[in-house]
Amino acid sequence: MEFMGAPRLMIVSDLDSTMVDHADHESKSLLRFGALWQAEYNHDSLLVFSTGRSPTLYFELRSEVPLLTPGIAIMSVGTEIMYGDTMTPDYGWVEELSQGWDRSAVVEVANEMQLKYQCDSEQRPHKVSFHVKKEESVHVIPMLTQKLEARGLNIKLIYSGGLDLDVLPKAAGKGQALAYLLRKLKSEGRSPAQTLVCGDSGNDAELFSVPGVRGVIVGNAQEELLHWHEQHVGDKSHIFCATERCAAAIIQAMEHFDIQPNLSPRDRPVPRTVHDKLAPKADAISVAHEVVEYLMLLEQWLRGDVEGTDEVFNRLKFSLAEDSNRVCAWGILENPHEHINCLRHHHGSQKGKLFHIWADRVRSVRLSDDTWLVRFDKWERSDKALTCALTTSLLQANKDFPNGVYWKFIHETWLSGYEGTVPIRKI
Amino acid sequence: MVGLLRFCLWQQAQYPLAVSSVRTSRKAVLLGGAYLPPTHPLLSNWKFRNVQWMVTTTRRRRRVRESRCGTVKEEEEEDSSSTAGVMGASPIQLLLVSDLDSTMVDHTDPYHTALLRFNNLWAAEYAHNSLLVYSTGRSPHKYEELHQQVPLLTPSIGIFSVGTEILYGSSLEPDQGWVSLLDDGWDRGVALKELQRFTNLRMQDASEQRPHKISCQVDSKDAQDIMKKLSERLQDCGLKVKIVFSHGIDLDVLPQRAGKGEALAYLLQKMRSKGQIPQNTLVCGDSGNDIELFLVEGVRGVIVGNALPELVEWYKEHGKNKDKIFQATERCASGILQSLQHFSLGPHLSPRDRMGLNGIDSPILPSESRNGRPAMHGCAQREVVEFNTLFEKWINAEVPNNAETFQRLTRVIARGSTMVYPWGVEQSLVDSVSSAQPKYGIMKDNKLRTWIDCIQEQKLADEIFLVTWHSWQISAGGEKKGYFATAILRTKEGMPNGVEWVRVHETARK
Repeated sequence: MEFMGAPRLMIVSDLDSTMVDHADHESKSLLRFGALWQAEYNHDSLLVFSTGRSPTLYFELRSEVPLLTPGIAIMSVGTEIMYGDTMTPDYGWVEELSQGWDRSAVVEVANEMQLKYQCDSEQRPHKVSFHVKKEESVHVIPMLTQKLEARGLNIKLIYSGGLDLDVLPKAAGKGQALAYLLRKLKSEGRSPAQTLVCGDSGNDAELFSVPGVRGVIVGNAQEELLHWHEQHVGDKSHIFCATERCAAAIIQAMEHFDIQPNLSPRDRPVPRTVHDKLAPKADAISVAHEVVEYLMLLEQWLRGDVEGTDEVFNRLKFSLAEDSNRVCAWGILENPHEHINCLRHHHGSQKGKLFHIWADRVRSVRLSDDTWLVRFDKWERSDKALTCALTTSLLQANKDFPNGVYWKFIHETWLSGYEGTVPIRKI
Repeated sequence: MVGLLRFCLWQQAQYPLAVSSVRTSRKAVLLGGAYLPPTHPLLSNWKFRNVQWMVTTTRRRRRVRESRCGTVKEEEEEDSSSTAGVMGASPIQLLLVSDLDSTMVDHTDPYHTALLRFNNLWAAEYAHNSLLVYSTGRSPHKYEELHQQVPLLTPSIGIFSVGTEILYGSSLEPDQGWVSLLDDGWDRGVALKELQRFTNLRMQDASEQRPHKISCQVDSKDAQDIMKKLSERLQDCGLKVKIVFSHGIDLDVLPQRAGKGEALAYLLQKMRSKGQIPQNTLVCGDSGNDIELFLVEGVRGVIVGNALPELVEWYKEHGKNKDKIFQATERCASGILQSLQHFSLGPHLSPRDRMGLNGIDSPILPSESRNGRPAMHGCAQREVVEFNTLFEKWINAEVPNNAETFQRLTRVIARGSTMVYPWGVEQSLVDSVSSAQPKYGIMKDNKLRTWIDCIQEQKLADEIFLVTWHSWQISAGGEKKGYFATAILRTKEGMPNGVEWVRVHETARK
């Protein structure tokens, strides 16, 4: 069910301090972007993460913040490309990188210079990574470059964050990886209609140079990237310097470049009744909206971010068909209405606490004129736990509901490694 | 399906032992949960918490409705809206009422081969239009014990404690009408006092002492004498009781109107009053306390091949009405299967029987189905059972190891279909099934046994079916695991059952 066509929009974004704001422990803007993506774009667009992190650190990040699942992950500063849910590596890219690359030679030279290595997980087949202080970088970088080239190696050095130095094959790098990806997509007839790249630091500079893309430099960008932007010669109209931080900047850029739609479901109240929306019809988008909005409303109810009235509660309750069934991840078969009735008394129970519910990998298949099969991951995060339930659901067209559909069936299983331990709400 | 793939892919899975109960959202229950098809007449008029899988069509239940203004109304309601579903208004094809110990369950066979054949046939061909009823001397507690040890299906109705308890649904609601009937002429305290005068009567366990049953043990040489004397004593006390001796040792004192036969007659009467008589009723037994079942009017009966002398003797003396009673040659559930064929009550060949080392016989084509189902009706359900059966046999090396046989599994998986496994992984279904091919016979020395319970098929749209079931497996080590399973299938021409698999999702039971 993963989208395999030509994307309407491709977003290529750095992670640390671009998609992910480490200064915000609630990850508000990331959740806003996530809701927008799942509701409006996941079904026909492509999300690509391009990060300096190695796979190990990438997976670590995923368990720390509410990060979406990308269609493609470019890791280790553009030296590793992995596709889809199964994270299948791109071996063609590996081959391209191997030309003129000799890892052991790099290590030898680095040892001679007594450079400080980053941790083991960051040392990858086509990446050797060090920590170099800003003051020292001025002479270390040219010297290292010279020594490696003297050995006949085809390398490039990338310095970012005022600390991280990566030695990569010349053909590597975020920009090259993106260019490779675009070539590949083109050859498969999957060229994106538009591409937006997003970055904050030195190793993102190349992204903006890839022909045909638009770019956003986030409001909290590092000096080195701003400096690059200043120094850059030529037409810069395709680059937007945002004022907002991180993922909020990406949404800002979408507004700036008039990439529609760009209003996140989290930025407006959840429609309560069918009158709140014009002519609802059941299609892939409205089905995705229903999933995203329903989970949002659940979160808002429990956090007390929405009033505890009958109107809101009924929206939660009656969107579930009376004869619907749910196999909850605890291994219990239940009537969803009973579960919702219990929830009534938990309005605001999570007020003031870290608590979020969000949907990821929302994918739908139209089974018939009025029935949709939707699979999604239902994530829930609190101070105590991060849990995820793989969910299969059936939604059926119904004109009485804001998104034109209601829930007929839900079946959940805990995602391996993210099992719930204690029911947050009593069943 | 899950357990089989699990063994193929992860042979060291660690799962907690599954409990064999279905938990409602209100309270934990003792038994495996009962399943009544929604049109069943017995579902009306009393509080019944139905937690069957999917509401298919007409459903009668108590509903709490909240109006938009927030006032709460309770309504007793019959929902007669017709939705595309399995049962519709179709009658009950077969009411099968069976004793458990040594009838449905063969205690001499640790692998329960015959019972698994029966389960397999029931799930594939009868679950959607027939009722399974257990009528046992066991108390609910002892039944639950048995259910933990043995691959028993969930019955629609349980008649326990030698016909003194009729229990419905997963919340085990007692039939109040039956309780009232039994209270008449019964005083447990008085009966117990009289019993205790007889020194050669020994009391059975506490779990066997039930509101309308007092259970003792007596040596068979004393039995006749004690029964006569006790009967007289209790009559003198003004009680109306019956005394049943069975298995050469058990003595039960019950209200006169109790008994397996009486309970069945009561149920049939109730169905009659709703205009829902089953087309056929088959009773199955092996011992003294089953005699009454055979005496109920209008039923057919099978005496299993291993029946006790007390029943065989009775048959020789009284049951010569050979049209109605069949003495099977085979043991236990095999005898029941024999009788299905003997009386032409419906299909008698399960997928298990049709798939073996001689190959896979083609299934009964939908159009040839005897039960008059419309062409595509029940096919998705049968596909689920057949698929799972073949998979089990593949890893047990009980079918030929060739591409043709394995293809039966791969050809029915739609492209792009996916599966969520209970250990929290989602994968392409094509890949998963294909990866099982080299695993032929990995369980041949340590056979894995699986069965499907509470299977239900719902038509979501012209070409789309939702099938839900409880999947169980037991390894030779005796470890039992259960899963809630859901599958979406779509019609496809040329497939063995006319459908292909689109999505499967399984969750381990709590």
